[in-house]
Amino acid sequence: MKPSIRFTISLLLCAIAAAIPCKQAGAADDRIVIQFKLGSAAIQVNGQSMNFQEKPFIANNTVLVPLDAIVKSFGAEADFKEQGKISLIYRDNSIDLSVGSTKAYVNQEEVELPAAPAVKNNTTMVPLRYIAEKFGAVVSYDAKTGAVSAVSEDDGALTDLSFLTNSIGKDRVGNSYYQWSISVPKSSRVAASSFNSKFVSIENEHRGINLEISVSLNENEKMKLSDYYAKINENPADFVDSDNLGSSSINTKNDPAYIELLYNDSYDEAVIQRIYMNSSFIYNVKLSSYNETNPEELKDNPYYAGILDSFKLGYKGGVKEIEDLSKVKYGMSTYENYITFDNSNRYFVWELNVLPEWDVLKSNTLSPLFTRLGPSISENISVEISKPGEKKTVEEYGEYISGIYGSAFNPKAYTFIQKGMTTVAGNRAFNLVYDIKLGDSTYTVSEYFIQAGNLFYDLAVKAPQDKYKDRKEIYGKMLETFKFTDKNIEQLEKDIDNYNYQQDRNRVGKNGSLSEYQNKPYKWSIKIPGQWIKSNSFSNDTLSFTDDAFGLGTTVQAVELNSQNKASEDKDRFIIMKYVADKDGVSLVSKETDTDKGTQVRVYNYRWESPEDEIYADIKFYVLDREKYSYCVFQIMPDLLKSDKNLKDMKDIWTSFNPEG
Amino acid sequence: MEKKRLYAAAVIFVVFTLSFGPLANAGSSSSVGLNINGKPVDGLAKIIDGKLYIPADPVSSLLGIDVQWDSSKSSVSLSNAESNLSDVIKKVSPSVVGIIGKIKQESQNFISQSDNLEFGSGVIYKSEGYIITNAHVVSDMEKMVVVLSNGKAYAARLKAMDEQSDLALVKIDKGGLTPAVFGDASDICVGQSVIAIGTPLSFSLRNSATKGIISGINRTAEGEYRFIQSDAAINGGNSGGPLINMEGKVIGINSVKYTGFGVEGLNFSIPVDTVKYVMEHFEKYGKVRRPYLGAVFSEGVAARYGFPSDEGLTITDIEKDSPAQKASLQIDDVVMAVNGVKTTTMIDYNEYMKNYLPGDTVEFTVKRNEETIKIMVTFGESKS
Repeated sequence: MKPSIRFTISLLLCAIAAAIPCKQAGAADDRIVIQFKLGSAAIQVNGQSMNFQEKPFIANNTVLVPLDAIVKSFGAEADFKEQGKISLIYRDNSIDLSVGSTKAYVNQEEVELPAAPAVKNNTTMVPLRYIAEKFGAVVSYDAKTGAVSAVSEDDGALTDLSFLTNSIGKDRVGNSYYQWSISVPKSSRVAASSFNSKFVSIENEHRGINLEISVSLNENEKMKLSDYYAKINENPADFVDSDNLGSSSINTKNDPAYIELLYNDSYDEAVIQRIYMNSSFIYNVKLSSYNETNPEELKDNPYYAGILDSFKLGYKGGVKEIEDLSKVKYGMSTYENYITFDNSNRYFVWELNVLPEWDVLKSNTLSPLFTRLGPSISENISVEISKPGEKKTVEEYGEYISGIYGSAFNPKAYTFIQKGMTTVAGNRAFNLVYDIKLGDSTYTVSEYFIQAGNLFYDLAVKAPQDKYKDRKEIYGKMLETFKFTDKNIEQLEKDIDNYNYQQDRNRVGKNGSLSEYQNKPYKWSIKIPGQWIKSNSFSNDTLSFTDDAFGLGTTVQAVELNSQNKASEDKDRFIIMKYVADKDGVSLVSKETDTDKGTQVRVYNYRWESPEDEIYADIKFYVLDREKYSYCVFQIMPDLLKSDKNLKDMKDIWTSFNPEG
Repeated sequence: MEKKRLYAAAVIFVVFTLSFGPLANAGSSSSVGLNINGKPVDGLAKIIDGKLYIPADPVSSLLGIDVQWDSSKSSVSLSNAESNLSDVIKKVSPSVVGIIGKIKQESQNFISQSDNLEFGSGVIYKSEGYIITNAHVVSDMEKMVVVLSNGKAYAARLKAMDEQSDLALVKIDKGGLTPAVFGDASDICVGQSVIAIGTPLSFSLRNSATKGIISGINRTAEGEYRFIQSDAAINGGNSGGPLINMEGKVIGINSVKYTGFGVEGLNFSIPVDTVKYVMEHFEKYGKVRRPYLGAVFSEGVAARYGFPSDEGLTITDIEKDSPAQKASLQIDDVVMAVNGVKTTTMIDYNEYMKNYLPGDTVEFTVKRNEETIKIMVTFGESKS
């Protein structure tokens, strides 16, 4: 929100907070008072005398007053839904009454009134004591004088607005799941928190500071703080958001021990960062100041250093003075998925409970319809929403996908295990289980397809084979918590159709069959499967064709031959080759020369292996020269996709490539 | 249209002592022709005993001087409208509230990792805790809080909302509030001074009040009804708050939703008659029940530009099974009047429709193929 608005709101809230202690000043304002004498139609309501149409009277030993007196004094809401039925609401209580009946409902529970509500002279009369007491007033009746009063000292004014601002009411906050706690200055508020509370950001605009506590898993429980310290000093850029590390130190005397880093972040704000460790987690606690640009000064200020010094490990919850920011319930955290297409409509679509260590993983596709949650790329649950063009049942859809996998995947890397109908989270689902081999590791994938009207949800659990066997039960527990919305579905479907249309506009052909593409400026043509997407890579002379479902691709670059590049190496002449060859994990396997297309074609075979991104693929570059232009055709074939069909398709694409320049 | 500022029926004479010589003989009285700001006033000025007496009535209305006659005390007070300003604001302030809430996660305006608080203003409508504000202020709020001018805050709930008029009714469970005094359509006139009040901030009386004049009673690009156009600046803070006249009467509810972008001094408020129409429906039905026809109208070209015309509204589309179809209205029919009331613009039509409910029957005067015919139409219930 705009700073000016935020400033106004904080002023407003300060003003309210300041006004509240002045209870003495506005004391009369807080009390709710109904006062009258039996026999008179004049009732004192909150100090004002009001004349009602009917006088209060006694029935069954209890005083009945005009309903309006209660409405006007308490500010209660009275709705007449049906003739003779009154629904009274006052703050958190509701009372449903019927004229002529002593039966009533207080907060939906049946009760017996001392006297029935009545209508006299068009005025609805209700039992005062019963209602006023339920609404928190003290009722007194002086039989001698006939004076009745109902007084409540609390008019419902809010004293704590922290629910609005997420402001922290206590002096100390903590996370009972990740077991840390820290003291915070007054008027701090929680500005942001990840769904699993692994990351918490606390702002204090008055002091101009931001405090971030982020927790990550300690992969190596044997690692010592000093080892970690050495690692940081080797490559500080990997650990801090800054161009240079001001200074670093390690303090083993403190409990808990910490590594301290001082630097200026990318906003040039001074930052003191302390890193703590235990066998399960690594804690990064960052204090940054809006006002201070010198981290040393920040550290020398005992106020700021004091906040960091108050950080402790071991908090497990249940301490009155500490506000627990943990979002972990019964061992899991709820991830709510909101989808937005180009910041237009924003939909809450589905939610899933996952282990708190799980995070949202970066997706290699930019599709808003695909989300992956897990500790890593090798173990996760992904959810994809799709809207198939034709109507299908969930069985048809499941069989269709199963068929595609069968023909697209390399039989040496893909092992079908089983398929069939089952139930997941109370929904009928088509389950497809298979193993895939990536590099040297085998993973088990269990996909569930659920139908929701015109949409399909594809939930897929993926884990290394052994892990899958061990943790099948916990994955099942997580899947059972899957919930999806039925609100705004029509609008969501429209937006998905629109999104699909935008994607489809870039397809090579109208349907799946081979389509010829002609590049007139650079004089080449090629035949590509129609559903592949065409896009410009580096510049207009470079065009890429990708199968967005699986990641197969071909790129063609044409370079005009001139005196400068005629003598250069292919790798230097073609930027696509240079870009790929220089990547980490890419190595040249062999280089050949073939006679093809009426000339000498130089064929470069590369291998790309990147275990942390799970990439295992063969890369081929075909380079040939014509009179005016030199051409480079790049093809990538992931191991998983080396099915007979795909291998043939890729070969056919090369065969169809016709360079005439 | 003039609003009398006098508080007595009789014409009161005001003494004006002029510095130049005696204008008449002592002891005699004579009538003098009077002009105020170039306007001739019917010869009511008198010279009595050498002093010039000028009637307060035209002085008040033509020079903007407030005249108050306290008949019990037999005295008269004159005041200049400008000094009234803070008094008027003080009088109305207790009826103006601030509304804060958190934006719902499903809202387009929700920004993750932001505090997502939004706020606006409101006017107390009934002492038992009913508050009027804009629909757009509260439509995507959850956890709503109303803050009174004394700084006290109460949990609030949305009672009714009508996006077409941008009005909403909000309830807090607190009695003894000071409701605002509402004017009526006759209190709205072009040129009149008005004040837009918003979000009062606690005991320090840091009200946001902006002053301007009514520039016009107009239409906006998006609105269905007439709006008050003024140059009293309206912003997010006072949207939903009252537009008051110098008597402290609410003549409109400010809406930042309709403020012209990039155009200075173009601020719109919802007139009090639209507010009253909507509140009445909220109380009776919980929502606004507009008479539903099921036809799409197109205005004549002149009407779109605001020129006077006799063009009528052309029907360009009729919904299947709608009241329009049932009444045998056809595409290209031109609706000239409803129950004899001319409908040249959509605004005319919508404003006039405020008088009817679903189920009512009216007579449409329709031009079809050069012939003028009368068709009876019974309105249906709007689906939303």
